[in-house]
Amino acid sequence: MKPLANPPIRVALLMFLVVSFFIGLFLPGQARIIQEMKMTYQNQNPADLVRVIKDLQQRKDELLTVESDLSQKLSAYAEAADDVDAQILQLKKETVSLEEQVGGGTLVGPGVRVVIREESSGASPSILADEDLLLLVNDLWASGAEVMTINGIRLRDTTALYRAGLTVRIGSAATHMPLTIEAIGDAEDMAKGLSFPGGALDLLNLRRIGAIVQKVDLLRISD
Amino acid sequence: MSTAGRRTTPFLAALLVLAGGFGYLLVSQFEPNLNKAYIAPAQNVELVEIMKGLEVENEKTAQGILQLRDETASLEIRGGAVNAQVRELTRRLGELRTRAGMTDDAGAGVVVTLDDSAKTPTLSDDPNYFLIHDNYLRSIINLMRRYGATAIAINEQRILASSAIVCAGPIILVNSSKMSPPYVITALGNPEILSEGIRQDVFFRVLENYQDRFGITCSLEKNLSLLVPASLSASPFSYAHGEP
Repeated sequence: MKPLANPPIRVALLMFLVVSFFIGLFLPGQARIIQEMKMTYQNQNPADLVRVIKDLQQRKDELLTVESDLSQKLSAYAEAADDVDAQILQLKKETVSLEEQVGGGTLVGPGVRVVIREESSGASPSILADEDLLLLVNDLWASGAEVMTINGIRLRDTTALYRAGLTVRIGSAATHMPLTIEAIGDAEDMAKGLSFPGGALDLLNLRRIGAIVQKVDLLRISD
Repeated sequence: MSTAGRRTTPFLAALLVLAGGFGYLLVSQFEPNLNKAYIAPAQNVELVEIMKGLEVENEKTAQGILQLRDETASLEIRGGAVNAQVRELTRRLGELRTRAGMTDDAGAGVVVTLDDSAKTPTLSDDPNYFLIHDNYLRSIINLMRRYGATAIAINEQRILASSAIVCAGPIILVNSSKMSPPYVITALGNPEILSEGIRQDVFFRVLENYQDRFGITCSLEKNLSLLVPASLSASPFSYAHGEP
């Protein structure tokens, strides 16, 4: 091998190599520090932190309501310790409320109706994916839906949603597109919850899936 | 300038640039705040304090709810001991509370654990592949329901039909409660059917692939003795009412 003729060039090359080596050594560490700092709460986008705080505040309100209800119930039980009729009345009241929650009959209330249609024309028809439907339903729950049906089938704790070819499975029931989702709750909140930028409706539009949201004064949901 | 001098000038210039860059990296390695991009926005410090305060308050209220439920149950049992109708109504209430997810459930099932990768993404990597996202949790829960789960929880949060799983940046919220990884998703049901169904699903296989390539954690275990905690927020409806 022919030696490099000029000693200053050799020295410069050597230094070049040494510096490059250290830069290579430190760069991953630098990337790691950036990554770790991004992950700390203090470095999050303030808008995200505000969103978390709003959710935690909502959770606090929910929990305080439950706690207050339980305290009242406890006081009522204590007062009715010697009054069997009062105890029965108290228990019946809670039974009716829980039967509504777990699906013991027909429920009515205001809410939204969302109709979802796939685009069947054109070279590449649009298809609603499981994730799209899960996101849409999730956004409705997140914005305050209390009860929900898809094509008349009520969603429960154990209901899975998935496509099986052209069929849409809602738990053990089968249905087809188009889908009509009805949700009872605060209609304003739910309509807003669906239309925020980057939310479920934006995603559906990008996939060329039509979604029409309509506020309804009185929905009727039965088993 | 001599010929040798002209030859070494570019090298020395490059060396100078590299040494400058190296010096900057070295300093910022030990003093990250030099880079303004790393300085936490002032309001964030306050926001994080508020967030932590709310978490503590919510935890305290949750404990209070559990205690009140215990006290209520004791009074109901006492009432049931002296009257048959009270006893029957209490039994019916117990069933309804179980169906509403207001009681702890125990039994056999499976546990899926998901966690962010411990690996550091290189500059050419998409860091999203190294993190667990809210849609992963939604899809796993959907799979568990599909294969017969009767009760599900993520960490300590009971999953009901109305449980929303949302993200705010990298923070995942379940039932409006902030979750921290690892995400331990517990499902009661037939362990064989659940395990087989989930393992065979394309989505779970994709996550296993991410585990191999990017280092996230994605595991599934069968277990004969699992506990799914009660929901704390099952409050009566505000908008939905029984048809008159």
